[in-house]
Amino acid sequence: MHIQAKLGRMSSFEHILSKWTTAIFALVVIFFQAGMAMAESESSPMKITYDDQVVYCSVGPVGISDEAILALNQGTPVTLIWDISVEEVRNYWTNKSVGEVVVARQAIPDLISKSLIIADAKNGISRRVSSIDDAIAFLSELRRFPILDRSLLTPGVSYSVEVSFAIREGQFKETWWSETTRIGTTAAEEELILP
Amino acid sequence: MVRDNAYRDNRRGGGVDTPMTGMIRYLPLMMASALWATIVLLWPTNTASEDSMIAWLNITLLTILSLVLLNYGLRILKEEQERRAGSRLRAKLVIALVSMLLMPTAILQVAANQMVERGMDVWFDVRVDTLLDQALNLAQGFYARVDSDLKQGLSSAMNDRELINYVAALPLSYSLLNRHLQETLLHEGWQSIQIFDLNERLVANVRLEALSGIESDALEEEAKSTLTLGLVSTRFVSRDGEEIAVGYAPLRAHQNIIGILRAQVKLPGSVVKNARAVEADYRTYRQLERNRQSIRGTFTHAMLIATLLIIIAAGIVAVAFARRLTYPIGELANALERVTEGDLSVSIPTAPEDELGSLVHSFNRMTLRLKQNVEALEQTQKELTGALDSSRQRQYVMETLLANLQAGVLLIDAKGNIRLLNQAVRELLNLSNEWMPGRPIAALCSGRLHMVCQFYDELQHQQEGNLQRELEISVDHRNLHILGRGVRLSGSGSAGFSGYLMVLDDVSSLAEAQRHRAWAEVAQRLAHEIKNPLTPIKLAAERLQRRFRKTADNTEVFDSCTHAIITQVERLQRLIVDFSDLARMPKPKPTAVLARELTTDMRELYSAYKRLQVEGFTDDVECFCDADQIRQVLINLMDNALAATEATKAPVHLYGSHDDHMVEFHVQDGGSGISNDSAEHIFDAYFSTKEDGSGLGLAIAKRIADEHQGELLLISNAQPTHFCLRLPIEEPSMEPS
Repeated sequence: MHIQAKLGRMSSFEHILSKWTTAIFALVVIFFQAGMAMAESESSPMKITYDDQVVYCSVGPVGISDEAILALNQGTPVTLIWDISVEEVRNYWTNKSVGEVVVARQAIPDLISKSLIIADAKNGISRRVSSIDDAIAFLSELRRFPILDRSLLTPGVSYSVEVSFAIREGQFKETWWSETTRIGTTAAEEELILP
Repeated sequence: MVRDNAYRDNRRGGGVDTPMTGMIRYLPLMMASALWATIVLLWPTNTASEDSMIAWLNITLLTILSLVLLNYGLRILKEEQERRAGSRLRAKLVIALVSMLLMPTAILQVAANQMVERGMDVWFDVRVDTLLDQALNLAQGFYARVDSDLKQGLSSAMNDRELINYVAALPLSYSLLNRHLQETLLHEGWQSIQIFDLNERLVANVRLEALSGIESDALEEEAKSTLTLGLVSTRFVSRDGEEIAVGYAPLRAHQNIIGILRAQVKLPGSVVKNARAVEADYRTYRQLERNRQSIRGTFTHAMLIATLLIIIAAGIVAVAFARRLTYPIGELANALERVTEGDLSVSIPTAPEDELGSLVHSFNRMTLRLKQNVEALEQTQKELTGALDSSRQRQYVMETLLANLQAGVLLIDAKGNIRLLNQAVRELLNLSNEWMPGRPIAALCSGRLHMVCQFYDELQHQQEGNLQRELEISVDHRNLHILGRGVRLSGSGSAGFSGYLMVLDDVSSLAEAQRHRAWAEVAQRLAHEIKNPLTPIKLAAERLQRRFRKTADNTEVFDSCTHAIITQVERLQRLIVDFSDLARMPKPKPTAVLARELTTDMRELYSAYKRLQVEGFTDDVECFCDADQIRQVLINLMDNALAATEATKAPVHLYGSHDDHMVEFHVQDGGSGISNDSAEHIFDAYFSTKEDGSGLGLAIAKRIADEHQGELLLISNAQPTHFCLRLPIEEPSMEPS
């Protein structure tokens, strides 16, 4: 009898736990979807070119927010993270990811010398510019950026190339959760069909 | 009943609803609504920012808490309807505990927000702002001065003709060039100086030993632009924790660039350190200033998260605590409900070691004692029920006995009130409904029943314990002879009864039979003694009339006397015949006779009488009788009726009727009727209202009716005078008398 009562309580507890877990999961999904839906999109010109080996992407310039410009003026580094993804378009299923390139371009102001260091945060290549406009131009534009080996793409198949970006103020630190928590702005989206 | 309901309400945690408790009932739902409002207010707008994650976390927590509250509120309302034991107390405890925590937490939240607000005002004070600007300007001024000095020195060196000659000379005189560069180095205060030719090959290099990090390798982009544009350029570089100002200047000879001069100045470490510290502080300060709202929001959200977590934790603790506290109360309430429903075997097995535990133990003791008491009560009840059943059986036997007793029984208590009377006495004396237990007998014994009171008075006042008297009481125009026997009851103790028991028996038939028997004997003797001399007297009188009438002096007197003698003798002869009939009445020999034949006989017999109306039976109903004797009865009734209407010529009506058991012959006449006093004795022998009647006709008729197990009744003694002869349809069972 006692064991039965305990089992009954266990069952009830598990039922409640299951119910609440489901409810919380549903809430998280709803909020995540809402956040994704509320993510901004910005239409920018994008041009996809390719040669015999490489597919290139040119996009921008995208609008840099006044807050980011103010941050640069006040000495705070600004990083613009480009996320270029290529997916194979499928009609009756979600698109299949072919490749994804993340580019982090950074501008680090030097208030003392009144100059800025612009750098690619991934490979560390940098140079110094003396004006914010140069830094903004560097951040907000990708010119003929190699995104994919052409051999990965099948001619005649429709691919979707989507470019999104996110602006971060302060020192850029790439962490394992950065990618999952990043909510970016879609800059452009274009279909690619290789001949 | 009302108290019981109130108890049930209280037992189930209902209690009395006050406006406060009613409001508390809806408090979780109100709090859930408030939380939803808060969710709407705090809904993050800047979704792109990473700071919004904390806001989303907040929203999630708020949503969870509001759902929990909503669920809890709905459960409270549901339990309120179901009246689950202890639910309201548990809800109150949870709400009270959470509210107790909620208030200080909310105050703390507001206070913390205020403190943050004030703190931010202090942190972002305008003086700090100005100070940081000035410090940055100072650092920038120092760097600008170094840059300016370097540019000025490079310009001087660029225009140094001696240096240009040394560089332009072919072949180069390295010693002269190095000496000149050494002088320039010392003059300008640089740490190194190099000269590159147009092919970017190092031509000369002079440096101070202290400068270890001085660059002496390939030229940079700025140098190339200097070569291209022919302008002086400078820049600051950081290397190995040191900052160096590097400058490039073109060396021209005859308007042609022949080389590049690179000079490097190492900035003082302490100054650089301070300048960079100022820059860092400025940057941090500006960043904080820009994120002022965000910081405030983050702090608010963080505090809110802490508050929510505390509330959720407090709620969980409160629920656990309330459950632990109210569990024994709920058990008690359930046990009480079972006790109320009569289950006294209930016992609460476990109890905490506190006041509630003591209460549970007391409850268990109480139920045990109640159970013992109830068992004792049930045992007593069983014994009492047994005794009561026995008493009821006795009472039943007594009542059945009394009900079936032919004799009337009347029990009167010592105060003279009737305690008991059976149906037989009611029927015997034809008592009214006023005769019922509890009524005083003295008030009821009046009129025809005064003999009963006399008997009761005599029984009361006599010395002996019992009394026997014969009472004559008129019932339905009949004089009944009642044999009254009375006993004085003298009980003692609680079960004793004092009073009088009167038993009344109808002995009318017995008395009548005795009277008939006596009269029959008298009649036989009279008939024997009188009948014999009457015939010679009559013959003698007739002889006298025949032989001496003509010789008589007065014929009229003679005729009158002899006629009187003959008439009276004839009368006496008829009287003697009647006496003989009465004495020698044969036993009836009943057979099934059509009732219609009897009425037809009467119609034919009395067809001469026009005022007689006979309505016979329409169907073939039979009666079980001796036809000759019944005809005699009917003739007697018809004779009486015709005699009574002889003067007035009023109609006489004979008709018949029947039911399932009896056939009735009704004789009605419109004569003068029978007085009430005469009606009581109309069936007595030798009672007659006629001058020449023997008074035996109706007595014989009644006797015939009785011997046929029938009845001869006087229904109405006047207007009309109505007799009814009732005879059985089937042969009656002869019960032993």
